[in-house]
Amino acid sequence: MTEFDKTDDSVVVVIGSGAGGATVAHELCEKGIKVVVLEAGPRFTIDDFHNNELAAYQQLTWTDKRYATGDWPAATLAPEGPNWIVKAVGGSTVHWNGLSFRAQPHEFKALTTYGEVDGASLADWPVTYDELDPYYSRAEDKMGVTGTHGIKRHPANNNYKVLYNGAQRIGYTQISNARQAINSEFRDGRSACIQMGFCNQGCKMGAKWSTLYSEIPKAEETGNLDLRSGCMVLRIEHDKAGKASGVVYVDAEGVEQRQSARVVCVAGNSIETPRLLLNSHSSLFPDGLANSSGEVGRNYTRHVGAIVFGEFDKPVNMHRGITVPGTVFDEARFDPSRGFAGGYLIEAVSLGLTNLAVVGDAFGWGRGYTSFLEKYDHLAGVLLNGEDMPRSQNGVSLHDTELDQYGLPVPVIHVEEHQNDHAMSAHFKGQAEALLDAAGSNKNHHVITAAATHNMGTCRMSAAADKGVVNGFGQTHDVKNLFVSDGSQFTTATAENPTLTIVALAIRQADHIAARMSAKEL
Amino acid sequence: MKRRSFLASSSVLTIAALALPIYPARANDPLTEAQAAVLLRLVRDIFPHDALKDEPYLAVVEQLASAAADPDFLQLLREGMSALDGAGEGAWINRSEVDRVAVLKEMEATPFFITVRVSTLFGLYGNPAIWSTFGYEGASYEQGGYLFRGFDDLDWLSEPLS
Repeated sequence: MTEFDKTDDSVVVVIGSGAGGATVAHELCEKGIKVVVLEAGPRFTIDDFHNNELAAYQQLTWTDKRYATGDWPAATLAPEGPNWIVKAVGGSTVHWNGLSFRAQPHEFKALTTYGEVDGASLADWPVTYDELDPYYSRAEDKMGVTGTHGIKRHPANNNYKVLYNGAQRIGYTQISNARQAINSEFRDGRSACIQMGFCNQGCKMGAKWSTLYSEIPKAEETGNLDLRSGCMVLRIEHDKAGKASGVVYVDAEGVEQRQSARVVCVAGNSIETPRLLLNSHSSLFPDGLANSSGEVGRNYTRHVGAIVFGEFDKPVNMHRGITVPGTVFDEARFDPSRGFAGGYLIEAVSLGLTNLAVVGDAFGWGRGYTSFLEKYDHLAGVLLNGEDMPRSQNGVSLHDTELDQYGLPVPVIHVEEHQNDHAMSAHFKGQAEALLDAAGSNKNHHVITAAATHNMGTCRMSAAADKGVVNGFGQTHDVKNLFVSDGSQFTTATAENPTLTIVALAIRQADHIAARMSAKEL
Repeated sequence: MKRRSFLASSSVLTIAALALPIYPARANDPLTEAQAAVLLRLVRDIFPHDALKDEPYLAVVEQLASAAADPDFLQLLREGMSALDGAGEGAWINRSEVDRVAVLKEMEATPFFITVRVSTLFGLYGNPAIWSTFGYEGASYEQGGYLFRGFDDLDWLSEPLS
């Protein structure tokens, strides 16, 4: 394995090994650039994964203390664990579902398209769909997205049949099971899907794209990657001129280390990324690194979410096969006549019995609840994934007094939901009930989703240095050799699952960094 | 242990288990048999599934009993069980299901109830032994997933066109 010297200041240091971090690292390594990736979690192999919801949750989840405040469901239902994300090499690409949709052109111009929305901090992205288009294509090829690059779709599983029929019967026309970064046949060294279920628990076939067994081993093969797992970054340091100069971290043995750096890319997911910048305050950057705008940690978005389960006369066996096997796009459009800005996707979803019992009703007990659970194999689920409004007051801040095991202030995630989110959620519930009823449901059960998995927007992109943290390449406005490489960059949430856009942005960012490095501008 | 006495003792346990499903008390157990019986009734009332035998619920009671090695937790359980009995005429365990559930409804915001509910939630639904009763098939990797075992066997709706 490649090891670079800790005093080597020619390396790019990438913090985090998920969709953004590992992709930018791999792309840079392919260009001959030396990269050190610091990952807080351990490195597993696919053989370590569990086809078991509880065991996988315990194995993979980032469970360091966090607090949720505000009026979002997590503040009540998961006040000390509001985000379901992964602490392991591969980050949340280990547990993601594989849905790989491009954001829509108008969503990059949210402010222009939707207009000012009271109480929301909408803005246009400083990058357009057309600029991202070739990078989306490269991302789809890299990840092996079905329905692109000649990659065939998966066959329809039971849960998707319910979504498809219900959606058709209520007049929807844009229904698809394509755009999955899950191999339908052997490709790029990864196996084909065997419809195992447990997509969220770490794919034991390696059929689903994850940086753990795609970007990272490929980057290692170049000889240019030094991946250090179990390393929690404490702060980013800078020189007198205000350029990032190195990263201080605690290694897997608990020893404090410092790695020098030519460029630093932060990709710790939208909670840890702003937290690290805030923790890296100094006399030169008293409000946190790259935070002259005051926007670090703000404009947190997580998608409007909800699940409705329909109860059918005949078995569905929703757990058999791909966990989120198909999507309806009809409501993803911009159409303010529905009473809200932004759009949403309706996705088929399954849960195992354990997770269903846990989240089906956070307070449920007694015969009313158990009679629902007893219908397990007759249930089909549909999930809401919609664009939530960014708000300045929503985001990540540091706890005043409480420190975690590394001595770092615990992050506090505050969300005050916007009325637009509620209007969208209510619209979805009506449509989801109609869809399930049309497919033959006798009874529908509404589930509140508490834990956020799509974390976005806490270091938003903006053209103007006083309106956001990074520019259209993810480069911070204040520190030119410091980049944000994850979903924190998102100016607005868009209706689509975020991973494909994160990967496209990371490929583009790597091209930009390499070009600036060879021009001696970094 | 000689084979003969092993058979004798196991048959006693079997008869006892058939007569009245009780938590098998051990010498240093923090809970009495009577308390274990109350907890068994309690975890059954919180997540009642008539199709399930007592074994998976007893497993939850055993987990609670193990946790009761912690004096604070033991006190929480004892006080909670006293409150059950104190909330009406006679021992809670001997009342009708409707009456028992009414008492629990009054107590559902107490730390005692919340703790027992959450312990039961994970202990019961996380127990693979009960899954088949619900039609949940659990781990599938070892069996090759569902590609050849019914991932698309739903035949009462039309096939999606792609």
